[in-house]
Parts: sequence; structure tokens; C-alpha cells
Amino acid sequence: MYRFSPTKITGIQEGINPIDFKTEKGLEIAPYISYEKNWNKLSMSAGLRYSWFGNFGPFEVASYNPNLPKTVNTILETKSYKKGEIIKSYGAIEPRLSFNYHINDYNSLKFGYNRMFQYIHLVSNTSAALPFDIWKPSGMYIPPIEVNQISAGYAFDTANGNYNFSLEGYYKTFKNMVEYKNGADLFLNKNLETELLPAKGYSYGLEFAAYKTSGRLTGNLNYTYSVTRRKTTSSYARENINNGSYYPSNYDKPHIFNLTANYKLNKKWSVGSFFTYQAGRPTTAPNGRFTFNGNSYINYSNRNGFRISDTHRMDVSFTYSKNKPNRNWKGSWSFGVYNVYSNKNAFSVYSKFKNNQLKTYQFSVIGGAIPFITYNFKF
Amino acid sequence: MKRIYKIITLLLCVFILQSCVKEIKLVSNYESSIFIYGNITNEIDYVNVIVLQTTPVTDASLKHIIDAKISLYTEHNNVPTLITNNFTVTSEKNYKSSEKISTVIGNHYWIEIELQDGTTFKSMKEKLLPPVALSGLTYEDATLEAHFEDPENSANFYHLEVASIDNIDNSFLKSFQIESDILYNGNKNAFIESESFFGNAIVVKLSNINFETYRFLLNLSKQNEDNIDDEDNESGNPGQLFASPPVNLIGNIQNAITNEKALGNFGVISKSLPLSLTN
Repeated sequence: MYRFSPTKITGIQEGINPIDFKTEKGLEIAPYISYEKNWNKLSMSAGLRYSWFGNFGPFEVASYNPNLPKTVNTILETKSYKKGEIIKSYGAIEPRLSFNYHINDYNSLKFGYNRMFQYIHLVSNTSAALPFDIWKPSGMYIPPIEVNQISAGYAFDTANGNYNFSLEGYYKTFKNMVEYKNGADLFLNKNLETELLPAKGYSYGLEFAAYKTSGRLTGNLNYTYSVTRRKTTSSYARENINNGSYYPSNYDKPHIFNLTANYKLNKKWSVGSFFTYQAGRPTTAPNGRFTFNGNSYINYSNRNGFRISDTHRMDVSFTYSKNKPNRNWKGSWSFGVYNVYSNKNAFSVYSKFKNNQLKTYQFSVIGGAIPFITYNFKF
Repeated sequence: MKRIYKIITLLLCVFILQSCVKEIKLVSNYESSIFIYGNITNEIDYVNVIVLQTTPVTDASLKHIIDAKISLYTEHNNVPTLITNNFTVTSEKNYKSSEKISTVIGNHYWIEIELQDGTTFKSMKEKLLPPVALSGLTYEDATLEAHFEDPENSANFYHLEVASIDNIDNSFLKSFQIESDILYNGNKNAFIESESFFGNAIVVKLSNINFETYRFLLNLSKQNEDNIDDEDNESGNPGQLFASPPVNLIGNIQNAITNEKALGNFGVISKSLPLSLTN
């Protein structure tokens, strides 16, 4: 059962109306069955989930002129739904199937397919998460997101078990996503659907991982190459982002490389390090300017037409543990430095006019190296 | 021990706060675009249209396009009529209709702009809405309130124009504010607050505007707020973390062939009679 209580404004002065967006209610039911079977070298896992989602009253839903884009000006009427009345419901079959084939003791292959539906949407268009980010249930105008994924992988262990390697590829498609319109105004908006556009997308990638699991030196290495694209599919061409062509999603980072290493110096002390390198995420950048009524304005590129610079950092830590073998309590102290070489990684890039010259700035959430001390325990 | 805590805290603050914002070189390519802006109102007046070409981000010059053909149309009962295509280029390099245009409440109006290379832009047909009269002005605690009765059963969008006049040094400043009636839909005592004026007399007009024009003017004022490098602007929003994504100034104008939206807007605006207030 979901309850969304977006906004309430009460008790203000005469001339301003109280605002109550009313609580949105949703119910999700999902029975699931699974079946597992092992043959000699082949194992299979199959599952079937049926999910049902209903959006309930009391609530008011606007209906729009079907011949025009949805705006507050094209609302034809507002229908009130009674308490418990179903506004819109969706049902979906979500199958999943995976095979694992053990070629021998050291080599295996796997294949998987699954389909998932997501009935809750985060509607936000800021760089950082905010207390007034909006969560919206699927309803009359926002159908559930459908994701279909196929994946295949190969895993290899060395004979002594010290090293493990894996290579996995995937391809995903997304349907019924939402993207915000140019200049979308989401705050205090009773008709959020007027600011959103239907979208679809796809994503594919290849992940390589290597692990060293024993010896004084342990660690792992991961590299992922991925592509994530979106496309808005409004039936009104002039509304579509980037003229309805595919563009990189906000989270598209084609290259991610991570390296973790731990070295045991002696019985009490170990040293660890973590290095990460990630391609910069997409951004929308100025590609022109003009002056109008004495003020300068920016013309921006296609949405997500450029990328901020790549990011990388290294963390180093020393860990001290002195544990008595017959005690349940096991604790360790770690002393380290986060972002040890003080790299100013770009979190956001933005442009502003200063003395009528367009200046571009890079913002880093953490501007330098940060020391840390932690105590970890388990019992 | 207390001294050690203080030193550690100080060191942490220095590490975390050291120069989080730095200027970088902009990496993007210049793409030429056309910006078109104009209005028609319920007042008998000339219609002015501006046509500009964007310049590279490093070039602050104005690039007017002065060889376009402008046509102004109206539509009543689904019958379109050309009002005029007789526009002259003024000394400010704007297009001005050769005669004053009178309009009819309830009719639709739009313009077509044909560039020398044949590219044609067209604004969406917008309806001339009935004007919403100002019922009074009050001034208290350095805040002006413009009062009016918001019509019921429709979403309304307003452009409040405040002209400040200083009779002593004869200076004059116009400011505007964009509002939707979300907070006062149908309220008989609706008001819009304004603090951006000076001098000893003000003249206020309230314009009833269409949604596309509202959205365009809102984005125009948002770019104005967001794009000026003012140290004070940074407080509470470091690195524009909480800012919404960049907004292009596209309104109700689109390429007539490709249907792609173009920069700019042609507003069909219904102005109230002015009210004034003096000190």
C-alpha cells in the first residue's frame, strides 16, 4: 500500500487560496512462483511474478483535449473519484529465466532474461536530491515503467582458486519512462503530467571483473563499458526533446573502471587502496548567445549534448585489528585519506555572465583530500 | 585533548571547503539559431517584432536580421485573414507595422516570418483574452500589492508591469513579474506582490496572457536570475546543485516546415487600464 502526500498550504492571508493536493493512494499486489532444476552441468532457475497496481480515490484527475498537447490550458474537465474507487489499474506478467552451464570445475557460462515493471516514479529535475523531489505513482497518464533485460556471461576460476574472472554483457529496453519538458515547472503543480513527456530508451554494456581472493595481496578490478539512451515519444513533434532523436540519459557514463587492493603488512596492520575512473556524465552546454532588451541570454545545445570532464580519485587506508581468537567481538580501526591526491572532480558545470562575458564554472562537491577514522566491529 | 579536537575539526573544514568552484574553458560548438520576439495587445498600437541571430558565446555583439518578411494574421470563426505584411525596419533594426493595429477580444493572432533563405517561422495562434481589471494598489512595508479579481474556472496567467518614475531626477524604470493563478484561482481578492520599483510614482498594468507566452516570459526571467554571476546568488545553492536544468528560450514559434520549435515568442496580450500610485 502506498500513500503519497505531496503538498498542503493552509492558513495564509486573504487573497491566497489554501492548497491541498490530496493524498494519492496505490496498492501493489505481486504473487510469485519459482522453479529450480539441476541437470548434470546445467542448472535452471525460472520465476513468474504477476504484479497488479491500482491507483485509488478520493482524487481528482483532469482530462485533456486529445487533439492538443497536455497543458493547463487544454484541460477539458476534472473528474472526481470517490474513496476506494479505482482510477487506473495495471497488471503485468514478469517472467525471469536464467541458465548456468558449468563447462568444468573452472569455467561456466550463464544466460538470463527478465522483465520488470516499476509502478513508482521519481519526478525530479535537479542535480541533487531535494526534500521536495516528487514521487508519483503510476496512474491515468503515467503508466508503469517496463524493463526487459537479457544478459549473458562467462566466468573462469584458476585451478588454485586464487583468481576469478568474469565477463558479462547485457541489453535492456525501457518503455513508459517520463522525461521533463523544456523549462518544466514541477513545484506546486497539481497537473504534473502537463510537464512530462513519455519516453523510451535502451541500454547495453559489457562488464569485466577480476578478483584475487587469497594471499597477502587481495583485491579486485572491474571495468564497465555501457551506453544508455533515451528518446521522448510525444505525438506532438514540437514537444519532443532534441527533435525526438535518441540522446544520452543523465546517468550515461560509458567507462567506469574500479580497482581495489588490500595488502596485509603483518598480523595487526593492513593497507588498502581504492581507485576509480569514470567518464563524465552528460550535460547541456551553451552553444550561442544573444542580447535582448539590454540583457544577455544563452542558447543551449541539445539536451545532454556534451559531457562534463571525466572523474577519478584514489582512497588509501591503514587498518589495525587486534582480535583475540576466542572472543565474539571483532573490531578494527581504519585511518585513511579519501581522494588522496586531492583531485577536484566535477560534479556539475554551469555558465553565467560576468561583465557581459560568458564564464563557465566547474563545481566539485569535495575540493580536496579528506582524512577519515572509522571503527568497524562485528559480534 | 580539546585542543586536538579543535585542530582536527579545523583541518577537516579546510580540506572540505578548499575551492569547490573553479572557472573552466567551455567545451561546446557554436550553432546558429534565430530568435524572434514580438507582441500584439488589445491597445490600438504599432506591432513590433525583433529578429536576431545568435552569436558564438565569446561574441557579445548584436546580430539583427533586417531582410525578413513579416506577416500578421488574425482568425475569427476559423476564417484566417492577413492583417498586414507591411513592416518597416526602424533605426533600432526592429520591424514595425506601418500602421497602428486594432484588435478584437476573442480573436486569434499570429505572425509568419520568412527569412531570405526561404526558412519560414510561424507563431502559434493565440487568443486575445479579455483583460482582467486592476481593482486597486496598496503599498506597505516597501511592498506593492496589485489587487484584482481572478476569473473562476480557468487557468489564468499574468504579466504585471510596474513603471517607476522619479520626478526629481526624471529617471524611469520598468520591471515586470510573471504569475500563474495557482495560488488564487477564482479568488475575488487576488493580488500580486512587487518590490522592484523606486521613485515617487508608479504606474501598474496587469496583462492577461496565454500559457505559452507565460511559460516563455517565465523562462526569460529565470535565465535572467540564473545567468548573472552574482556572489550573493551562490548562497544556498552551491554549484547550482538545486537549480533545474538549463532552459532554452523557446515559446510559441516554430519552423513552419519541420515543426521544430524556434527561439522566441509572439505574445497576444490583453492589458488592463493602468492604475497609478504616488508618494
